Amino acid sequence: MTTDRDRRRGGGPGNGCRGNRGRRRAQSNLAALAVALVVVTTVTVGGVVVAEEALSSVDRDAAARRAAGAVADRLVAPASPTTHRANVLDTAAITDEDPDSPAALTSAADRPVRVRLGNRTLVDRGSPSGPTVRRAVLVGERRPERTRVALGGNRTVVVNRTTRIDLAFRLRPGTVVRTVRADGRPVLHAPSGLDGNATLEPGGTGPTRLRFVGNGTNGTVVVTTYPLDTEPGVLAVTVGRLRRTDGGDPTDDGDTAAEGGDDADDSGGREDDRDGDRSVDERGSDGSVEGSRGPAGDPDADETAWPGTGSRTAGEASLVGSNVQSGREGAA
Amino acid sequence: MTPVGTGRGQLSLSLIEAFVGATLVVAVVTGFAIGGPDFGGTREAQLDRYAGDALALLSADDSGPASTADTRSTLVALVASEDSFERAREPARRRLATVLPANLLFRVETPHGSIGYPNPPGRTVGEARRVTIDGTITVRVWSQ
Repeated sequence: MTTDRDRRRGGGPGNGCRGNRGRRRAQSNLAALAVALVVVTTVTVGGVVVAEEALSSVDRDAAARRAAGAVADRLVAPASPTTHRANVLDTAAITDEDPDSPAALTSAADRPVRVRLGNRTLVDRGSPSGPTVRRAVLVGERRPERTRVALGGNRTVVVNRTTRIDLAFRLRPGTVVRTVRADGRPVLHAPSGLDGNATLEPGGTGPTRLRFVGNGTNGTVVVTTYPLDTEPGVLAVTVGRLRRTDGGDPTDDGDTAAEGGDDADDSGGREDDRDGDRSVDERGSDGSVEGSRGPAGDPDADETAWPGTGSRTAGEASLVGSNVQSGREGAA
Repeated sequence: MTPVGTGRGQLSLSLIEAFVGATLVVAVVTGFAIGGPDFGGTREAQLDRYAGDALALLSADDSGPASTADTRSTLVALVASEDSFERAREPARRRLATVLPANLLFRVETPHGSIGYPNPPGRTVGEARRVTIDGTITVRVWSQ
């Protein structure tokens, strides 16, 4: 027992070299010091490099993140060509969008960009690896929905929010609809009675209650609305680091940013143009309907009433004139 | 007993110190690599975006059943009065639950009451607020 323990403690044979060891220990101390210095230096340098990398990547990421945020904002903005209204994307618009130069992507000019909607990739330019900004959105399209209102009933219908309401009056002789009220305010009025077709553009943000005022109960009004059929999704915009072209000066950041700004301005103009075209188109089509003697004959009034919302406080007469583009096609 | 002491003394003290120092440095660097602190407040910014989206989708919500004859958006209905709040509460809750990503919890506060889950203490919470003529509506969003 005791001998065993002694041996384990290194008591036995080592005793003789005690003096030698003492001298060698001083030597190994020097070597160890050298090794220690190398280790500490290496680790410190490595650590500083890693930390520097982490910090500067945070810096770069911040710029990319801002760009991604701007792109996402543009894609879901209410006036964007890709949306029906705020945060509600238009299925058709986003699939038709030219993947090479969507106007919304100009905020991330010179950077690789990827836009995904759920599992579907809408745009992939340069396969970026960088920060991702996500937005909760709805995706949908407008589908016509028809309701028949029997004038023998309560003459009232509530339709869900829509950009446009088409009315078709199917009236038998002796039945007259003189006024159509939306949420209480008159939007269509003809003293001799309405017939044929008419189009309303409600400006509200919620459902609209339509009421048909007139005499007689023999007839129906077909109300066609275009409500949104939507489903939820997540829009993810990933923007990568600035691309360096032919070894350009990395301190060029300011310049490129300025260029980006110019681009954004340009695109803004383009977008405006597009909107302008669109509204002109719609106005044109309304105009053609309006050509037949509608109550809203004045094209100027029409133009001012385009947004369709401002007329709530106006008087009845101007309401009838302004808020409605109506036409009565010569009944067949 | 002395030989034992000298035998153990072989591992140099400076080497030990070096390793202790290296461990410390590596620990700090690991912190950087994992990215412990939220440098740019990015998580909160993302949650703020979700909260803003929730608010936008509530205010644009026209999924409300036309048969209820309530011609207001869900957001307006929530703030308008006690009655309309009670009516809009369940549709709004369902709406937010489907619209927000599944890993997010939310709370909506209006002058007439709250919808959703209780506020979590000590969590990063995104917030969006809209002031209407009838009062303020606040949406808070945080991840599970």
